[in-house]
Amino acid sequence: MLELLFGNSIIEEVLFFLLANERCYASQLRRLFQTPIYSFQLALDRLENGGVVVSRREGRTRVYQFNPRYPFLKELKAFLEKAYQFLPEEIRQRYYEPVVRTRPRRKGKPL
Amino acid sequence: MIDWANLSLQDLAGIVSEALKKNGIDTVLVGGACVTIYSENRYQSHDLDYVTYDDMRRVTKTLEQLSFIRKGKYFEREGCPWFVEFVSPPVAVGNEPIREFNLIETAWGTVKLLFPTDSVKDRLASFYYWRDRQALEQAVEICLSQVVNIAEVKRWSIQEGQKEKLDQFMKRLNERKRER
Repeated sequence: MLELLFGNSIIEEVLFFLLANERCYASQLRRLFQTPIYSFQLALDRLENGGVVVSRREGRTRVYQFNPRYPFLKELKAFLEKAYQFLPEEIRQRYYEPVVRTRPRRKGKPL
Repeated sequence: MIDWANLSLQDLAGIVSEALKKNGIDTVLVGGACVTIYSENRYQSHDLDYVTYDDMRRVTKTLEQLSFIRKGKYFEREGCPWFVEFVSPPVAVGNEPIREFNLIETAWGTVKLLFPTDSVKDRLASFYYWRDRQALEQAVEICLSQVVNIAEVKRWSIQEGQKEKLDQFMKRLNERKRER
Protein backbone atom coordinates (compact mmCIF):
# COMPACT_ATOMS: atom_id res chain seq x y z
CA MET A 1 0.00 0.00 0.00
CA LEU A 2 2.71 2.48 0.98
CA GLU A 3 5.71 0.73 -0.51
CA LEU A 4 6.12 3.24 -3.31
CA LEU A 5 6.32 5.98 -0.73
CA PHE A 6 8.72 4.14 1.59
CA GLY A 7 10.76 2.52 -1.16
CA ASN A 8 9.89 -1.05 -0.21
CA SER A 9 7.22 -3.16 1.45
CA ILE A 10 9.48 -4.24 4.31
CA ILE A 11 9.67 -0.70 5.73
CA GLU A 12 5.88 -0.51 5.55
CA GLU A 13 5.55 -3.82 7.41
CA VAL A 14 7.97 -2.73 10.12
CA LEU A 15 6.25 0.62 10.65
CA PHE A 16 2.75 -0.89 10.78
CA PHE A 17 3.98 -3.54 13.20
CA LEU A 18 5.49 -0.94 15.50
CA LEU A 19 2.34 1.12 15.33
CA ALA A 20 0.23 -1.82 16.45
CA ASN A 21 2.70 -3.43 18.87
CA GLU A 22 5.12 -0.69 20.01
CA ARG A 23 8.13 -3.00 19.91
CA CYS A 24 9.61 -5.56 17.54
CA TYR A 25 12.66 -7.62 16.78
CA ALA A 26 13.91 -9.00 13.51
CA SER A 27 13.33 -12.72 14.08
CA GLN A 28 9.78 -12.00 15.24
CA LEU A 29 9.06 -10.22 11.98
CA ARG A 30 10.71 -13.00 9.99
CA ARG A 31 8.39 -15.56 11.56
CA LEU A 32 5.28 -13.48 11.01
CA PHE A 33 5.93 -12.39 7.45
CA GLN A 34 7.88 -15.47 6.32
CA THR A 35 10.50 -13.18 4.78
CA PRO A 36 14.29 -13.56 5.19
CA ILE A 37 15.55 -12.00 8.40
CA TYR A 38 18.20 -10.04 6.51
CA SER A 39 15.48 -7.91 4.86
CA PHE A 40 14.14 -6.87 8.26
CA GLN A 41 17.59 -6.27 9.69
CA LEU A 42 18.39 -3.95 6.78
CA ALA A 43 15.09 -2.12 7.14
CA LEU A 44 15.52 -1.70 10.91
CA ASP A 45 19.10 -0.46 10.40
CA ARG A 46 17.86 2.05 7.86
CA LEU A 47 15.11 3.32 10.16
CA GLU A 48 17.54 3.52 13.07
CA ASN A 49 20.10 5.43 11.01
CA GLY A 50 17.35 7.86 10.11
CA GLY A 51 16.43 8.36 13.75
CA VAL A 52 12.92 6.94 13.28
CA VAL A 53 13.49 4.00 15.61
CA VAL A 54 15.88 3.20 18.41
CA SER A 55 17.05 -0.15 19.67
CA ARG A 56 18.43 -1.72 22.77
CA ARG A 57 19.70 -5.13 23.67
CA GLU A 58 17.47 -7.30 25.83
CA GLY A 59 19.41 -10.45 26.50
CA ARG A 60 20.55 -11.65 23.09
CA THR A 61 17.82 -9.83 21.20
CA ARG A 62 17.93 -6.36 19.73
CA VAL A 63 14.52 -4.81 20.33
CA TYR A 64 13.28 -1.82 18.36
CA GLN A 65 10.72 0.85 19.10
CA PHE A 66 9.77 4.22 17.69
CA ASN A 67 12.20 6.91 18.74
CA PRO A 68 10.24 9.28 20.99
CA ARG A 69 12.71 12.01 20.04
CA TYR A 70 12.05 11.70 16.30
CA PRO A 71 10.82 15.21 15.40
CA PHE A 72 8.11 13.94 13.03
CA LEU A 73 6.89 11.03 15.15
CA LYS A 74 3.46 12.50 15.88
CA GLU A 75 2.84 13.20 12.19
CA LEU A 76 4.29 9.86 11.08
CA LYS A 77 2.07 7.96 13.50
CA ALA A 78 -0.99 9.96 12.42
CA PHE A 79 -0.23 9.06 8.81
CA LEU A 80 0.38 5.40 9.63
CA GLU A 81 -2.79 5.20 11.72
CA LYS A 82 -4.84 6.54 8.84
CA ALA A 83 -3.26 4.10 6.41
CA TYR A 84 -3.62 1.22 8.88
CA GLN A 85 -7.38 1.69 8.91
CA PHE A 86 -7.41 0.90 5.19
CA LEU A 87 -5.80 -2.48 5.68
CA PRO A 88 -8.22 -5.40 5.42
CA GLU A 89 -9.13 -6.84 8.83
CA GLU A 90 -7.72 -10.19 7.82
CA ILE A 91 -4.28 -8.66 7.08
CA ARG A 92 -4.28 -6.73 10.35
CA GLN A 93 -5.10 -9.78 12.40
CA ARG A 94 -2.72 -12.09 10.58
CA TYR A 95 0.36 -9.88 10.66
CA TYR A 96 -0.06 -6.95 13.01
CA GLU A 97 -2.46 -8.10 15.70
CA PRO A 98 -1.63 -11.77 16.15
CA VAL A 99 -3.51 -13.39 18.99
CA VAL A 100 -0.59 -14.37 21.21
CA ARG A 101 -0.03 -14.11 24.92
CA THR A 102 2.16 -11.15 25.80
CA ARG A 103 1.22 -10.64 29.45
CA PRO A 104 3.75 -11.90 31.98
CA ARG A 105 3.67 -15.49 33.23
CA ARG A 106 4.93 -16.04 36.76
CA LYS A 107 8.15 -17.98 36.90
CA GLY A 108 7.55 -21.65 37.64
CA LYS A 109 3.83 -21.58 36.79
CA PRO A 110 2.98 -24.76 34.87
CA LEU A 111 1.90 -24.23 31.26
CA MET B 1 51.43 20.83 12.91
CA ILE B 2 48.42 19.38 14.75
CA ASP B 3 49.07 17.30 17.85
CA TRP B 4 46.11 14.97 17.25
CA ALA B 5 46.75 12.84 20.32
CA ASN B 6 46.45 15.79 22.70
CA LEU B 7 43.79 17.79 20.93
CA SER B 8 40.84 18.98 23.00
CA LEU B 9 37.36 18.16 21.75
CA GLN B 10 36.68 21.85 21.21
CA ASP B 11 39.82 22.24 19.11
CA LEU B 12 38.91 19.18 17.05
CA ALA B 13 35.50 20.74 16.47
CA GLY B 14 37.26 23.87 15.22
CA ILE B 15 39.42 21.86 12.80
CA VAL B 16 36.56 19.74 11.47
CA SER B 17 34.02 22.59 11.22
CA GLU B 18 36.49 24.82 9.44
CA ALA B 19 37.60 22.12 6.99
CA LEU B 20 33.98 21.34 6.09
CA LYS B 21 33.11 25.03 5.77
CA LYS B 22 36.06 25.59 3.40
CA ASN B 23 34.53 22.92 1.18
CA GLY B 24 31.14 24.60 1.25
CA ILE B 25 29.61 22.14 3.73
CA ASP B 26 27.43 23.68 6.41
CA THR B 27 27.31 21.81 9.73
CA VAL B 28 25.91 22.22 13.21
CA LEU B 29 27.54 20.65 16.23
CA VAL B 30 24.95 19.01 18.50
CA GLY B 31 24.83 16.47 21.32
CA GLY B 32 27.35 15.80 24.06
CA ALA B 33 30.16 17.89 22.58
CA CYS B 34 28.06 21.00 23.19
CA VAL B 35 27.80 19.93 26.82
CA THR B 36 31.59 19.53 27.01
CA ILE B 37 32.08 23.01 25.61
CA TYR B 38 29.40 24.69 27.71
CA SER B 39 30.22 22.87 30.94
CA GLU B 40 33.88 23.79 30.47
CA ASN B 41 34.88 20.13 30.39
CA ARG B 42 33.10 19.14 33.59
CA TYR B 43 31.38 16.58 31.40
CA GLN B 44 33.54 14.91 28.77
CA SER B 45 31.95 13.61 25.59
CA HIS B 46 33.91 11.15 23.47
CA ASP B 47 32.77 12.26 20.08
CA LEU B 48 31.58 15.14 17.95
CA ASP B 49 28.01 14.83 16.70
CA TYR B 50 27.26 16.92 13.65
CA VAL B 51 24.17 17.49 11.57
CA THR B 52 24.51 18.39 7.94
CA TYR B 53 22.07 18.46 5.04
CA ASP B 54 24.94 18.03 2.63
CA ASP B 55 25.86 14.89 0.70
CA MET B 56 27.79 12.51 2.94
CA ARG B 57 30.12 11.69 0.04
CA ARG B 58 31.37 15.28 0.10
CA VAL B 59 31.70 15.13 3.88
CA THR B 60 33.65 11.88 3.61
CA LYS B 61 35.98 13.34 0.98
CA THR B 62 36.70 16.38 3.17
CA LEU B 63 37.36 14.36 6.31
CA GLU B 64 39.61 11.97 4.38
CA GLN B 65 41.81 14.99 3.67
CA LEU B 66 42.28 15.16 7.45
CA SER B 67 43.02 11.39 7.46
CA PHE B 68 39.70 10.47 9.02
CA ILE B 69 38.40 7.10 7.85
CA ARG B 70 34.68 6.51 7.55
CA LYS B 71 33.24 3.52 9.38
CA GLY B 72 29.49 3.62 8.77
CA LYS B 73 28.29 6.87 10.29
CA TYR B 74 31.47 7.36 12.34
CA PHE B 75 34.81 8.77 11.32
CA GLU B 76 37.95 7.96 13.19
CA ARG B 77 41.57 8.97 12.81
CA GLU B 78 44.62 7.11 14.00
CA GLY B 79 46.15 8.92 16.93
CA CYS B 80 43.04 11.01 17.61
CA PRO B 81 41.11 10.04 20.74
CA TRP B 82 37.79 11.45 19.47
CA PHE B 83 35.25 10.16 16.94
CA VAL B 84 33.26 12.30 14.55
CA GLU B 85 29.70 11.24 13.80
CA PHE B 86 27.03 12.63 11.52
CA VAL B 87 23.51 12.16 12.82
CA SER B 88 20.41 12.40 10.69
CA PRO B 89 18.87 15.81 10.19
CA PRO B 90 16.86 17.82 11.13
CA VAL B 91 18.29 19.83 13.99
CA ALA B 92 15.39 19.72 16.39
CA VAL B 93 14.47 19.20 20.00
CA GLY B 94 11.18 17.45 20.49
CA ASN B 95 8.77 18.69 17.88
CA GLU B 96 10.48 22.02 17.31
CA PRO B 97 13.10 22.80 14.68
CA ILE B 98 16.12 24.81 15.76
CA ARG B 99 16.97 27.59 13.34
CA GLU B 100 19.42 29.81 15.21
CA PHE B 101 22.83 28.75 16.26
CA ASN B 102 25.75 29.93 18.28
CA LEU B 103 29.20 30.53 16.81
CA ILE B 104 32.31 30.02 18.89
CA GLU B 105 35.86 30.75 17.87
CA THR B 106 38.59 28.26 18.51
CA ALA B 107 42.29 28.48 17.67
CA TRP B 108 41.54 26.35 14.60
CA GLY B 109 38.34 27.83 13.30
CA THR B 110 34.73 28.72 13.96
CA VAL B 111 32.25 26.16 15.25
CA LYS B 112 28.52 26.51 14.64
CA LEU B 113 26.66 24.79 17.46
CA LEU B 114 23.50 24.79 19.56
CA PHE B 115 22.95 27.72 21.88
CA PRO B 116 23.19 26.79 25.58
CA THR B 117 19.40 26.96 25.98
CA ASP B 118 18.86 24.50 23.13
CA SER B 119 21.63 22.26 24.45
CA VAL B 120 19.79 22.17 27.80
CA LYS B 121 16.58 21.20 25.96
CA ASP B 122 18.47 18.53 24.04
CA ARG B 123 19.77 16.99 27.28
CA LEU B 124 16.41 17.27 28.96
CA ALA B 125 14.80 15.44 26.03
CA SER B 126 16.96 12.42 26.94
CA PHE B 127 15.91 12.74 30.57
CA TYR B 128 12.26 13.16 29.65
CA TYR B 129 12.08 10.26 27.19
CA TRP B 130 14.75 7.87 28.47
CA ARG B 131 14.85 8.75 32.19
CA ASP B 132 18.57 9.41 31.58
CA ARG B 133 19.80 10.96 34.83
CA GLN B 134 23.24 11.63 33.38
CA ALA B 135 21.54 13.84 30.78
CA LEU B 136 19.65 15.62 33.59
CA GLU B 137 22.93 16.38 35.38
CA GLN B 138 24.43 17.61 32.10
CA ALA B 139 21.50 19.99 31.62
CA VAL B 140 22.08 21.31 35.13
CA GLU B 141 25.82 21.74 34.46
CA ILE B 142 25.11 23.89 31.41
CA CYS B 143 22.73 26.05 33.43
CA LEU B 144 25.39 26.56 36.09
CA SER B 145 28.06 27.61 33.58
CA GLN B 146 26.17 29.53 30.90
CA VAL B 147 23.37 32.03 30.51
CA VAL B 148 20.31 29.89 29.81
CA ASN B 149 16.78 31.08 29.13
CA ILE B 150 14.99 29.07 31.82
CA ALA B 151 11.61 30.51 30.87
CA GLU B 152 12.10 29.09 27.38
CA VAL B 153 13.17 25.71 28.80
CA LYS B 154 10.00 25.70 30.89
CA ARG B 155 7.79 26.66 27.95
CA TRP B 156 9.28 23.93 25.78
CA SER B 157 9.06 21.30 28.51
CA ILE B 158 5.39 21.99 29.12
CA GLN B 159 4.76 21.93 25.38
CA GLU B 160 6.39 18.46 25.36
CA GLY B 161 3.98 17.39 28.11
CA GLN B 162 6.77 17.00 30.65
CA LYS B 163 5.68 19.19 33.54
CA GLU B 164 6.47 16.58 36.19
CA LYS B 165 10.00 15.93 34.95
CA LEU B 166 10.51 19.66 34.45
CA ASP B 167 9.79 20.07 38.17
CA GLN B 168 12.46 17.45 38.92
CA PHE B 169 14.94 19.36 36.78
CA MET B 170 14.15 22.66 38.50
CA LYS B 171 14.47 21.04 41.92
CA ARG B 172 17.87 19.59 40.99
CA LEU B 173 19.05 22.86 39.50
CA ASN B 174 18.11 24.77 42.67
CA GLU B 175 19.86 22.16 44.83
CA ARG B 176 23.06 22.56 42.81
CA LYS B 177 22.82 26.36 43.00
CA ARG B 178 22.52 26.19 46.79
CA GLU B 179 25.58 23.91 46.98
CA ARG B 180 27.76 26.56 45.30
